[in-house]
Amino acid sequence: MKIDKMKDLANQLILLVKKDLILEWRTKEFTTASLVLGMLIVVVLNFGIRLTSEQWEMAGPGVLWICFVLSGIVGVGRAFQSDFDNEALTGIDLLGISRDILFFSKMTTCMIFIMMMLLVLIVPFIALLGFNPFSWELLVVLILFSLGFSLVSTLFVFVSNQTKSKDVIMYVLILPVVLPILIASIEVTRELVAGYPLNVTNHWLGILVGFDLVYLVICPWLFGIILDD
Amino acid sequence: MIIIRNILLIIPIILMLINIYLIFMVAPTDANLGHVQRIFYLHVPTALLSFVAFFTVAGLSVSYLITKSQRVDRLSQALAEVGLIFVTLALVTGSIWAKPVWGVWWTWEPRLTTTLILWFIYVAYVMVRSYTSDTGKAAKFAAVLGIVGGINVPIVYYSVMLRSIHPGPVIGDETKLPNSMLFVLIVSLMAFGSVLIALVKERHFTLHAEQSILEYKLKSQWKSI
Repeated sequence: MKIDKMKDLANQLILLVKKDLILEWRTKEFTTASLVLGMLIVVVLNFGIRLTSEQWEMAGPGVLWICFVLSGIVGVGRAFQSDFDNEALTGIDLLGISRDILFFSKMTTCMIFIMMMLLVLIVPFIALLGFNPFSWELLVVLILFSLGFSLVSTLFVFVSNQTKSKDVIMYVLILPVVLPILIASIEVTRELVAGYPLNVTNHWLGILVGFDLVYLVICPWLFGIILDD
Repeated sequence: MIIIRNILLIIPIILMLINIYLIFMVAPTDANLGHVQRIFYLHVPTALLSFVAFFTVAGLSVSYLITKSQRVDRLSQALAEVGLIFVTLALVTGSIWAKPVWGVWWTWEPRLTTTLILWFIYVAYVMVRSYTSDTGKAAKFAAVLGIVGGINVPIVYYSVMLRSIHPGPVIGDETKLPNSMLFVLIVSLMAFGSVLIALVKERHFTLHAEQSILEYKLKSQWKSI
């Protein structure tokens, strides 16, 4: 009985994620918004700062992650816009799908988009700025950051959408809450770029995992409360 | 009611005057830092009380989400706003202290950084309330942020354990603070504590008045229909 229920919930989750992915494939809202903005940031940075390869080692991780976060927030805002415009959430709610499943489906979609965006945006950093941060260990940081960022942004996109000046509020809400994981990601990337291996005892990695776990508990709970009415 | 309000306004004024006298006339001058150390009597109470206020906001936010009590919401809003003023004071006094001691107005060490993050979260708290036209939704969104901010408070406190140049806790078993300084600090804590209570009480009163006027207006509109 319990296994059947679990299977049912998993099917609902997969169905909702599939719906969002198909919608994105058709509209390309997230891809266009985040990648174009990300590329533009890289181009503007090229004119704004001229660093030697040694200086890139120090400043590069910060520049890279700021670019990721700004493009990510814009992308996430666009990705859920069609749901708000078409009252899709009311429709999903009427189907009797639990709020947790709805949250985790949105979060999973968001995480897939963010991961893709992060991997694609590394390319212009290598090609245009000559800064190559890529390593397999960086993938771990990207996954941990995407998880935390997706949890927080899924929650606050829904909050900001119901306020006046939602574009401003979205940044004001998401940025301070993701700052701890952003700082931790920058610090771990800096160590990786400097040639140090990824160490499980690294306290920045601990902060990243810790915040992810905290957000994993509170964000779905608070999401359910927000959608309560 | 009015008598209680007046007493709550008079006590902080008296305590603050005593506090200023103690800080400048009684507290000994620090052998290493000199007179600049006196900022400590403003910085520590404002920082500590702002954290207490934010912790209470987190508790009240959980309580609001369960009970949906408007009184709890008003109290939570008043505490968050006054807490924001206190944490701003803590950041400003900290910077004034840091310039002569560390040589810079600001340094990106963990406790300062996390306090600044906390400040931004509560600025967002105030903004969300004023940017949401539906008061019920505003209260709910603010409660969500209140909980997120509250979870940040212990991280702020324990961040001093990480690589930090910030001075360690001064109150506790391992305190090295002389009794004369500790006495002034306790009086300062009481003075700032009474200011916090008075401000929260006043803000709660104005919020209640605003709400009553709004309800009266709505009732009048309904009657005219």
